[in-house]
Amino acid sequence: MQTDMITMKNLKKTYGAKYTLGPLDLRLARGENVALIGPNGAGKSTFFQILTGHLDATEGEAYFGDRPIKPQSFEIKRQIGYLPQNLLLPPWVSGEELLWYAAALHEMKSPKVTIEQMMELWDIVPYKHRPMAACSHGMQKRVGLALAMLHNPDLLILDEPFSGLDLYHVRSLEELIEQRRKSGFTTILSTHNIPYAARICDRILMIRAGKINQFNGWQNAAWETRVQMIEGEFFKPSDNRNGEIQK
Amino acid sequence: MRALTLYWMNIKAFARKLGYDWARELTTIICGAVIFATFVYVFHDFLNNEVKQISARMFETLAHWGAIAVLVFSSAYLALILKKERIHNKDSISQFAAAQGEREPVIQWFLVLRNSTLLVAGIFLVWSVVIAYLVGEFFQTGLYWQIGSLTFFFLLPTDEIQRRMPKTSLIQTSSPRTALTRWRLLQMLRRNRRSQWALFVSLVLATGQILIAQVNGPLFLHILLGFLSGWLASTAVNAQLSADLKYAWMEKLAGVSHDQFMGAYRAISFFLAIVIFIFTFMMMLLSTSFAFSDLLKVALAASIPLYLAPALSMQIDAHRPVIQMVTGFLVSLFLVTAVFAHYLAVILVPVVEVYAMQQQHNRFYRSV
Repeated sequence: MQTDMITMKNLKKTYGAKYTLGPLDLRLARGENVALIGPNGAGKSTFFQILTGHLDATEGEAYFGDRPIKPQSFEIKRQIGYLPQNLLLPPWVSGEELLWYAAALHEMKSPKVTIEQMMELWDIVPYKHRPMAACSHGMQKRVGLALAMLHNPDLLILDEPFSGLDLYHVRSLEELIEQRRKSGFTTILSTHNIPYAARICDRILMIRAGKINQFNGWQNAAWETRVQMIEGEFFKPSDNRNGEIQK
Repeated sequence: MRALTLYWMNIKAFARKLGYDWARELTTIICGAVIFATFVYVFHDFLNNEVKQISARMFETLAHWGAIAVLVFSSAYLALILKKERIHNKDSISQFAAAQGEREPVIQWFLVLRNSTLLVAGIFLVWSVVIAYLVGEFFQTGLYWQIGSLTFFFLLPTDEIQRRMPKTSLIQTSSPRTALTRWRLLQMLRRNRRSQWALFVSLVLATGQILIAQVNGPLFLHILLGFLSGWLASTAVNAQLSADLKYAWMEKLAGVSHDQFMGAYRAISFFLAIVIFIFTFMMMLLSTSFAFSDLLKVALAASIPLYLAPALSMQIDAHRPVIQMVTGFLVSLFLVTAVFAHYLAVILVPVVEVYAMQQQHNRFYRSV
């Protein structure tokens, strides 16, 4: 059985002469929780766009199991759940409608029970008929999380999942990610919230100026020490202080 | 003084937008010019002959109403641009200024400066280029139409989307194809105001065939009206597609392919094309005594722009309905004139459709 969920081989994305992500060589195992941490503009969202097949790499390959990820990899996309950082939902559509629509797109048979469970889990029921335009940022985020997890994806990608969520739902999300790990599903998330990342993730990937470095040696430490170690790594001096990809 | 700063910021934002988009704009202008020049080159003699059949009096009436139509449409577009800059609009400079604690009179002065510049530039362009070319003594009537239509469109609620919710039961299906089509059709008919307006005006124009029949208008006029009604209905599809692409990340992630996405639009356009074909054909049949092949030509003129809309929507910039409208207008004008010359030219339509679909293949995935 293939144990790696994601493999990246010499993957590179360039925009013109200066904007470069990579080259990246990376493996994500099944049942692993991974956090991607880095300064604003370091390339996190571009990384996720390639992983979800939204963007094609300029060089190298990304594999889902043993199948290459491309914009036309429709089967692979159905096995990925994604919560984008800038969640754009149609303004005059309700959460319940969106979930039914997504269920139809995923060809889910009899999705009523799953939709109801998702709405219960993310406390969407009280506002399930309310249009997105009349929902707060946190409420929309919960709909986004329900959409990402509706089809129980093998790989869950969460871009800044904790921003805008109250503590109850942060706890729910942590528990859900933990359950997914136990069931052998992989989750990768980007966050600036180091304490949460230190609590739920097995690995930390530090992205800076389009380059990813794996940060090791912290897994066995106590939680407070983990947070300090990750923050120490984040603030480590570098040539490019902001860590932004040069545009 | 701060109003001037906001005004300057607005001009710089416009210049910056132009700087980012100039290649696209230039492509549209050049492509449009090439298609139009080819159209004039190919159909010049044929159209001249057809136009000669129109009497001088009718020609004058046509020019008069054509000028009014230009005024009304330009007013609608101007009103849309003016309304973009409002305090409750999240993307507006006024909203930004208000959020920073700017005083209301300063924002009002900024709006006066901006809107008067736009009005002067827009109205000058329309009057000096179009109206002066179409009709001579028109000032007073034209002014009434311009002011009246500007006020009407400014006060008209034209927010992109309205609040009416579709029925959830209609999208409860396990077929992505059905869900994609129904979802879009529901948005167009129940929520998207631009689509609703386009369909309504198109229907009014299609009914206008009876009026032309009343004054014994030539076939040329019926074809022209049929084409305009079909093209307007196709802008309903354009408006929905560009609104859709803002939120298409959901479909892309659910593994919806370009063909599936465009398939939904093809189904909708085909359905609407059939509806407008039958409607126009019936209008003509009941009110005129033209030969069957002529009735067919008018009905085809109305349905071709709609039928082709999905194939042309992603050629240049699917996010901008105006660019889609221009592309659709030019290509359809070409084909409709060919059909007018001989109804068998309709065989060109599927050829153009297949070629255009191939050209824009997989652009759903490029439209990030």
